[in-house]
Amino acid sequence: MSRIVVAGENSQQAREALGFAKILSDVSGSTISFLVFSGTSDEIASAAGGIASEAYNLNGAGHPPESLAAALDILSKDGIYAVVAPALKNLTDALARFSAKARIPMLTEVIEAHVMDDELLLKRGVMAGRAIGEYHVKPPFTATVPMKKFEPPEASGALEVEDLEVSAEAPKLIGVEKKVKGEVDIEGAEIVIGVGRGFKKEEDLKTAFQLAELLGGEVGCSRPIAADYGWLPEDRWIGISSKKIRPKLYFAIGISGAPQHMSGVLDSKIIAAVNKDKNAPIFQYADYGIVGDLYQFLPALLKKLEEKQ
Amino acid sequence: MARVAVLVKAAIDVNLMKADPQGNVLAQQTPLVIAEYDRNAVQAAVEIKGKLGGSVAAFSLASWGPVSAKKKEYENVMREVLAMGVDEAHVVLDDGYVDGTPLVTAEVMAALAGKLGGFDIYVTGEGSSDMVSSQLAPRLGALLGLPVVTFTKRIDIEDGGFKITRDLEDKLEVVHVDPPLVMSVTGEANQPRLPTLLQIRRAFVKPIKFYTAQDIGVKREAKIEQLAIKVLAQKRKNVIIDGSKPEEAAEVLIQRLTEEGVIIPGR
Ligand SMILES: Cc1cc2nc3c(=O)[nH]c(=O)nc-3n(C[C@H](O)[C@H](O)[C@H](O)COP(=O)(O)OP(=O)(O)OC[C@H]3O[C@@H](n4cnc5c(N)ncnc54)[C@H](O)[C@@H]3O)c2cc1C
Ligand SMILES: Nc1ncnc2c1ncn2[C@@H]1O[C@H](COP(=O)(O)O)[C@@H](O)[C@H]1O
Repeated sequence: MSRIVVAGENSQQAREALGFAKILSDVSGSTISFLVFSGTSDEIASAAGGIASEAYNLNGAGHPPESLAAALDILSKDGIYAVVAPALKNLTDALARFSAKARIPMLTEVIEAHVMDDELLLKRGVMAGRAIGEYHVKPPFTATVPMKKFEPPEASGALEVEDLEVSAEAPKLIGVEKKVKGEVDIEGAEIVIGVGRGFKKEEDLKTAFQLAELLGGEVGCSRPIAADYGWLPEDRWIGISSKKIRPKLYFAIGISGAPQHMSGVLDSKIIAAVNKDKNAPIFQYADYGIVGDLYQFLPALLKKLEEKQ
Repeated sequence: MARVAVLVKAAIDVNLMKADPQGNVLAQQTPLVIAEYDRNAVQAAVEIKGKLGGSVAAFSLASWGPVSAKKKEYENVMREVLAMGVDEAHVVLDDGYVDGTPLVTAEVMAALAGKLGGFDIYVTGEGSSDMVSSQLAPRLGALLGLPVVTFTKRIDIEDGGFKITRDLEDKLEVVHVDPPLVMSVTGEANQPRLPTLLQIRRAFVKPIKFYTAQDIGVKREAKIEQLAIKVLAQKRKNVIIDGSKPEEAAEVLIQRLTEEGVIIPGR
């Protein structure tokens, strides 16, 4: 009986993959080992007590991807069933390094797990989120799961934590800059106004904020608006590499409808869009599509809504 | 002088994806394009060559088949990167590697690198635009025993050493590393330049070499099997409203959204 290692930079992170690990453990009878890059014993116990049968702590030593990969090398010595982690960049990195050395497959962002004739069937989004790929995987393997996708079981009881020392060569860290965090809960919003590169200047976004205010919604954006131009903080960025939303109304303004963006909004009840290009892919995804210039349409829409107040 | 290798995927054009009536994606019938962020990888590789001197080789594994029918498309993607400043292209074309997972792709790329005598800097995209597995750079680095820096947003070269800014969820992290190394770059790392007409013409005389599984020698084992790729059915109303008269269009939209119960004007 080999183990399932659940990894994270801290306990909360690793806990995000516990629900998935539990499914694997029920299928295989493997025990769960909890591995964190840093955290206190209390945090670890309250995250995984009663679920994991053992826990390891790297105590924040080294650089996360290299240290975690080295720890996985050690923990897999006696055989493993799987290594799982939430789909965060450092963890994807660590698991991929480990998988290459172990010569085992890895599936990123697994969204469903099934058992078929005693074999594991895993599903993940492919084709930039426009399709679902189904995979038969033989253990050992590694996988990441999106945050909040698999509900973790309640933790209870004690969990003994062992300190693990690893030595791994890593690039020299010379600086860290924390990102600005906004206070929006775009994933919980009922109405989301999405802004994209159709807006020519940062200050033009204010019309989108006015619309959000009038409708009681939040403003979200495509990747370039946040990651490239930095016009909005990254917690408003919607899509395959960031937030997934499920509002009653998603209203995309000046967004082309790239599948990588749309895969973050597919669960919206109604999708509306404004785009001046009648051939923009966004219209294939929209319930209501306005072919027109946002710089003319938005002021008209704001005026009409204000009149109805 | 640096020997730079850039990994370029010819990916499924997800905007033109074809499927059969049962919803199975027909990869064979769908055109291939350069993976979106591999343009950034190529741009980064060409900029590194610009600073350090040397040459850039593009590596590609044909991951969609049948390769005999798709060969021209793989060649076109290579012509595109040759026009962007890559000096030579190496393409592994074998139906035995088609549908390969990152496990196979990384082993093939590592074998190809070995065959060509090794490189100082390997650049990949952060994720391919069709499969977005985000595994290649760390896998390749582990196989070659080289330092790996993932999610590179900015590259500064100082005295031959690399100062690299990594773009993580909650922070930017700056690390220093000396070549040889492997890095993956994000879509924000640079602005890929469009090649000029002259560059496009010159690309036609640059070499593209093809390899088979026999040349590479990587054996594929059945550790993972792709059972199906099924399109996600999207049912939308697709009502188009002409926006040439903005006031009228706004009125229509407000009415529709109110009927749907998703907005309450004047609430
Ligand atoms: C691995 C990977 C991951 C990615 N992850 C994400 C992600 O998480 N989220 C994301 O958003 N993208 C993501 N992308 C990028 C994605 O492919 C697109 O490049 C991006 O979504 C485009 O953003 P956009 O629609 O704002 O800009 P564009 O594609 O440039 O579209 C702008 C649109 O505005 C319209 N327009 C211009 N002027 C006007 C006007 N005056 N009035 C009305 N319309 C106008 C244009 O017709 C055009 O359709 C990812 C890509 C890759 C390869
Ligand atoms: N078949 C391939 N041939 C060449 N490079 C590839 C291939 N697949 C992936 N890559 C490289 O690895 C990066 C990440 O791809 P992926 O791991 O599929 O998300 C891409 O941006 C490419 O640089």
